[in-house]
Amino acid sequence: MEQEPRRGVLTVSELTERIKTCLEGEFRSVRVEGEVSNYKLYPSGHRYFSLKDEGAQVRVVLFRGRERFIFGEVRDGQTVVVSGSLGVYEKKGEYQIYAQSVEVRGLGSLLLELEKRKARLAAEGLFDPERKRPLPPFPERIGIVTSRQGAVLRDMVRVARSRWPAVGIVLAPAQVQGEGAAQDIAAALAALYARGGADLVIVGRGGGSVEDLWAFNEEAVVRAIVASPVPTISAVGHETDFTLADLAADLRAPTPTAAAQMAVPDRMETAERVSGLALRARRAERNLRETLRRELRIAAGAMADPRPHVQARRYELAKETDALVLGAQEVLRRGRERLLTLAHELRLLPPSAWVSRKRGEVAALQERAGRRISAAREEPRRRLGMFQGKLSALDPTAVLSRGYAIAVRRSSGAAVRSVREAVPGEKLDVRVSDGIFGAVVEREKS
Amino acid sequence: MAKGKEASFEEALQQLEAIVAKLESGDAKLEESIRLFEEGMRLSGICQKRLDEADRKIEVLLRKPGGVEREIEDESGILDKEG
Repeated sequence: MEQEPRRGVLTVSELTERIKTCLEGEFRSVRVEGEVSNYKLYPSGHRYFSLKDEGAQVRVVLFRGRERFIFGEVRDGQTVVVSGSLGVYEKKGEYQIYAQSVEVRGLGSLLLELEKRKARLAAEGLFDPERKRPLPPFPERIGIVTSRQGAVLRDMVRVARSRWPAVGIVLAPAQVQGEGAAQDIAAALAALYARGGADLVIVGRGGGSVEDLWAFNEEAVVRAIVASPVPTISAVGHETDFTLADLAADLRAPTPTAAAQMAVPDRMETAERVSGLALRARRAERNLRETLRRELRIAAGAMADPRPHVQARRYELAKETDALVLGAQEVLRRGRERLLTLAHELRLLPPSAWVSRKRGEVAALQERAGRRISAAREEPRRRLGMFQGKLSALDPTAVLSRGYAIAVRRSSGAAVRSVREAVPGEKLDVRVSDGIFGAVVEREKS
Repeated sequence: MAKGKEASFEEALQQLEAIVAKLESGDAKLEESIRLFEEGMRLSGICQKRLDEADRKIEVLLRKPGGVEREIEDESGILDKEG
């Protein structure tokens, strides 16, 4: 049985459609001032609240992605100006404002307050460049204060571990936005300091609105960062965001991921440095061994039979001495000849001035001969001293002072050069730098 | 360095550098050079070990009424968590 539609009667949908057309056409762009209530951020990222005054209220939605257009810290009871358009939700018969932006009234005074706070803390010296400490080059453990949820912590852990797998990580989770966030961050930092053991601390969070980052402008956070016993890195939001926490930290990182990168060294670079050092140690040790071995070989050679050396030197010495003596004898012989000639001339000629001159010549010759003879006596002694010096430089025991020892068989006096020559039970004389002691071969060892 | 505790990476690296410099100067005596070399190799081993080891654990400080509780969480737990 079909009912005829009565004249002047609309269906619910028809009515709603007309309301929608009417409202959405009329209120395409509105600015409304009111007090915030039931402010709520949903996991979807959308924000819902009601705007009210003494007589009425209207629902407001701020979609995900528009949080950048929140100016100031929005919370219940706050007076804000919402800009947006009116929308009708047919299924529930409701209308609401789709917000494009939300401005907190008196934001101007909030920023002014921030500037005042900054000046006050700066005057205390909390932001002084002289306070900045360098980061430890190889931190054993790093402390992190951030939200336990979300990609920020995950990215920081991943980056730090990929660069330096051995680094220990202590997380002090904190609520990084909203009511009480500043106190929570300060308490997390204090818990980290109390636990100890961290060589540096990263404090931060990911990007968000000015409102989201606001906790990092609070005095409690600034003072907690300044109180850190170890160097701190701030990592708040994106590169363009600046907070008082950044001024208080020893180092400001543009992003949390960059902070993790700055915090730990690169494993590959450091591994190259370590293996380079090990290589240099091996090379130096090998060179040293070769030098010592060479010295030992020379010394052992000399010790085995010093006689050829000594004989060669003795022969050399005798030859030199002979040459000297022969030389002196020659001078004497010539002097005598000259003397005989002069005596002959003297007998033939009358004494005169010539005679006294010749006498002087004779005296000079005699003196010269005498000098040569005494030189001939001294020279061998001097040269002997020189050779003794050379010999002692070859003294094999000199090298013993470096820690070598020479073992000889007591029975034969032969040096033991190999394990194969060491017979268990055999008595040895072991020569070290300052003497000889007896020893017995205990057992073979290879 | 506390007794019984293995040298930290930084300490080990600094000592290793000093030892290499001393060995390279060449004026160490026999026993000393052997001792230095062995110590150098031990230190480079410590460094290498520290480079190779992976922690994979995160200590979480949970603030509760009455104090702080420590909790050890496997790193994969943090890395797998979606935000």
